Amino acid sequence: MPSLTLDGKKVDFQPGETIIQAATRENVEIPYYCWHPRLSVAANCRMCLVEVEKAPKLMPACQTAATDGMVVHTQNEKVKDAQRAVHEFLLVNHPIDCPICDQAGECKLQDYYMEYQLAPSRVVEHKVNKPRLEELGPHVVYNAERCIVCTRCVRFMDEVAQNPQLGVFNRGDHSEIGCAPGVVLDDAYSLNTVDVCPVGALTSTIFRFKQRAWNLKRSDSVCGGCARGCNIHVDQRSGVVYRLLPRDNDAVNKSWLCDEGRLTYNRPNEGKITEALIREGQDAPTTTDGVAALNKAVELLKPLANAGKGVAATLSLHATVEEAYVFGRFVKDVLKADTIGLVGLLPGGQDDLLRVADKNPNRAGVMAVFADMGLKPVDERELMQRMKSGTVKAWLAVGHETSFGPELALAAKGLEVVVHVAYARGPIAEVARVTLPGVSWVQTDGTWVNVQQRAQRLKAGFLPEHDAKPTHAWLMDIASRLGVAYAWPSMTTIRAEIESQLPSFREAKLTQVPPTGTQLPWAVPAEAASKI
Amino acid sequence: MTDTAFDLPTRNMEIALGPSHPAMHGTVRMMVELDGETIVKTETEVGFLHRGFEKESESVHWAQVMPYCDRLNYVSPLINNFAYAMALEKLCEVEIPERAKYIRVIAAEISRICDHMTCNGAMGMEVGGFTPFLYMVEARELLYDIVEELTGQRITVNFARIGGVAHDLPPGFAGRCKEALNKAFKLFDDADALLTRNRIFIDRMNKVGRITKEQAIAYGITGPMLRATGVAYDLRKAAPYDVYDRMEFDVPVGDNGDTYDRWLVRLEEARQSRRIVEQALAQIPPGPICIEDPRFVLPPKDEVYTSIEGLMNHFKLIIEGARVPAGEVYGYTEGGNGELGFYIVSDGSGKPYKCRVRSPCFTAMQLLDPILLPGNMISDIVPIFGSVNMIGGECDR
Amino acid sequence: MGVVRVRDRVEYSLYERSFVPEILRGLAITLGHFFSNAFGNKETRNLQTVRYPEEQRVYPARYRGQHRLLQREDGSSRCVACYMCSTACPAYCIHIVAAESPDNRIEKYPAAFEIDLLRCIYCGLCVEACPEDAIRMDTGVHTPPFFTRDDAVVGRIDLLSLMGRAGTAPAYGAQNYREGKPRGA
Repeated sequence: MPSLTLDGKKVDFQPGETIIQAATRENVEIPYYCWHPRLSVAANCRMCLVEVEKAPKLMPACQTAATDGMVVHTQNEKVKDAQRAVHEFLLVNHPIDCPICDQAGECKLQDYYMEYQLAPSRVVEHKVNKPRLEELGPHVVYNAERCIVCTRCVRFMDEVAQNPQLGVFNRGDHSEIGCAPGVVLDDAYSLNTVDVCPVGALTSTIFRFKQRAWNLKRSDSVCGGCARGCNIHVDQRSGVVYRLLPRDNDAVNKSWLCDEGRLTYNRPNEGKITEALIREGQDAPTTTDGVAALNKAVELLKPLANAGKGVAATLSLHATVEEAYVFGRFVKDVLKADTIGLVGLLPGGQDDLLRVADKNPNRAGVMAVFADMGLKPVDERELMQRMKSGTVKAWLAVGHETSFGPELALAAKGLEVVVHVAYARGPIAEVARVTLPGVSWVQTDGTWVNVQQRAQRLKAGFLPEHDAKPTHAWLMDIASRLGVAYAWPSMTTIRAEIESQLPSFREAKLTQVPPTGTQLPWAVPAEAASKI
Repeated sequence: MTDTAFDLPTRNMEIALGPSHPAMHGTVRMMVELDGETIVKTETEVGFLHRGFEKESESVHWAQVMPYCDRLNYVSPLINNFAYAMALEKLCEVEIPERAKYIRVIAAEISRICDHMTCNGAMGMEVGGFTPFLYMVEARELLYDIVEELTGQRITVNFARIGGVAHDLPPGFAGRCKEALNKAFKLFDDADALLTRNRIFIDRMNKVGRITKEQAIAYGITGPMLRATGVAYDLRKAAPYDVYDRMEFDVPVGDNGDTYDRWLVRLEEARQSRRIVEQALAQIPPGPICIEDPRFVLPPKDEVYTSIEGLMNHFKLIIEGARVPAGEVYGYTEGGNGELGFYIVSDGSGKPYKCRVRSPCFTAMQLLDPILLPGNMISDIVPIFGSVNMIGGECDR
Repeated sequence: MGVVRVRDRVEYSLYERSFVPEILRGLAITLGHFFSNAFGNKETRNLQTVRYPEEQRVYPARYRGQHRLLQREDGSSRCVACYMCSTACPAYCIHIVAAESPDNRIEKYPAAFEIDLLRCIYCGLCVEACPEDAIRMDTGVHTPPFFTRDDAVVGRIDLLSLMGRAGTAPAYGAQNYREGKPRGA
């Protein structure tokens, strides 16, 4: 194993690696702007200059291949001087924009200034003026004055998105990023250029000026936009989700996230309910407290519990594996429904990178749970048919994520009993007798299985507000009032039971899913393939 | 007394004094067990003004703790500010400019005068002399005008910064300050003249609430309470900080450690503080009032408005707080009541990991139950407790 | 440069023990105050009472009173909703909602800027934190009283309409504004 000496320490590296790759693995910090672990090397920012013994000048660590026996210094005076100087040059024409720049708080220029420069400005002249509000595409806006022309965005579009819509125009001091005439940055992955941009040159129009980065609290979750289940960070403040950012996962989405997935950030906010709704007669639903709503739900479901016929229960394909299991037990033990349905979103666009046609994040998980529990779900069209024909007289609707919302609501208008558990007020909540407030996936602890048959963990970013509770908590409450007391004090007990009871999940180790997920030993469909 | 009187069955009476009680400075509760008028046992309960200073400090940045420090010993807020700032400067290993040191000394001594005026005035009022209290408070008002001119507020000053002070002395300050001190001390001397040699006052204060040197040292008492027992220990002389080593002043000590001694010591200390202020105003050199260290101190405003480096520096310091190097430090000053110390633990981030306040009057309160009160009469509680000068904000934090 | 024993300065002689002389001396002091206040002239009078609100004290230049937001020459607010004041405030009393400004050169402005004056501790850290010299506390008035808690939340329009006192220098800012000179020059 070849090795080099980094600041006096012997470091092993793989042949073909550069100094910066070896250093990053050893947690030795070398500053950089243009380098990105998943993009090609450009070496134009010169921030990663390090001293390599026997080399005449300082060498860029991102470009210099590591050789056996090399001695590298990253902390001596020469390197520190170089870092100060390079940073000063980068800031010579940088506009005085921090108050109006969205990157403040997560800006590499700010961070590296405090670490490596800490010297005042020596600029006397006026700074260069360039265009400041170039809308390169529907989601991305470009400020040429802030740009340090590191070309990360250009390289991303070339290499990862495979759609070279960006390029560098003009030369020297006048360099700018732009699209060729007639070209617009409308790729499905355009917002990743905002992520890779180390400064505030490329910013997102959907997040523009909404909130300051340091006010946001970050939690780890999985995107619910499609079955790919890209790993994400959820940034929220006071219960409002402001944006979704990609989380590294080599097996699923590397460091990227599609625009469509990012745009689902507003789903937890839109129509969110935290108080229960009750509908009397044909009036509109009114808010009520959780206890009264639970009582009403129990009152409505009690006579159906042993009716045996005419009871439908549906689950959304956005439900977690644990919720699906609890739902399955509920409809078998308590409700004894004869019609089980699955509601979800219609298929949409797909490509060979991340986007999958199935826009429901947990079809694989929910179907596996139902199959193992012997539940044979019908689809929404069949459900509506049965409602219209009178076969279904009562309906427990868990989850509201469906493309057929208005039609389902219309079909359900004539039913005697509709009990709804959802986190947002959709069409079904308008016809339900009782709507119990649930929580969205950003507030849920659970597991989704993606199209690659990989079990991934969602973590709740913030606690439920007011009367909102997770789905499984509502079902357990109703069950205990109807005489079936489940002994599931925590998620871990539910997961342990799933592992022991359901054959598909026997090897899953659901209680110990790591942050990057667990590959389940199931058959992987063709649409899971990706070139990312 | 007939024999019958001695045969009557009696029981000790328990009175609860406070916490809402005019004589219980700040909020303190004393459960007093009385045999007639004599105190048998007292149980002092503090903590009614506990506002969680130390816990609060853990969730805000270093600079945002400064307004909380004002509210510790709220009759001498500037001293609290400077104690905190000094502890941080030790940890950051920075030296503040000369002028800043002088300004700190001037402000701290004015604060100390205010503290002693309040304590002595209140002591006088509580034994019955309302007029000297009003004179002292009027004198204090004149000094509050000076503090307001210098810092912008009378009590909630927020004046110290890491590396110096927030504002310079306004033009003409020295003259106005001396004039205010003259006027204030005329009133101060009047109040002194009304009380100090008055037999009623002496009889109530003299030989009441005595502590010995050994007891004071054993209980860790510092400040006027210690000096009243005869120990000439003043941090400004024993371990000088800022420019106290260039000031000529005397340390007043008492003989007996009783309440009258504490009264006299505070009076004399206020006069010595006046000497210090006048010397400092004469000696103060021109120069900057705060260091310009981009790691801890906000850059000058012209750099923030006109350069990206200054602006980024400003932004990072406000967003993250000054990243004080990891470590522990104990910074101390001579506060109005004794050694006011801040034991600060930093984990290298912009927020304190722990900011413990060593509060002098909390230590002094220990003396009440075992030594100061039992055996005295109930009416002695008031002057004794007044002379301890418990400030609720500092004792309970 | 040393130690002074306070007891050396007082004595407990016959004068103190026969307390009447000291009481008479005390009376003389208070009567002196009384007569100089009743019949003295402006210099010797020591009446500190200010008949508020007809008479009002003038607060010093640095007094931290009611906040105000400053305007540019064209009347728009200088504030660009950068959230520095909101972040620096130890009492979390400033709430801002940023929005796109109709003026392309300014880009950002506060659609809502509210200070909850009941939470404010008047420390002045917001003024120190502002990078645009947009908020100052130099109005020289203290916050007016409210009848309800909601009244205490002061919004952007009201803050923009307050004026600073004529003749008071800005708390920070423009007085040190150098025109592009390098450091040390």
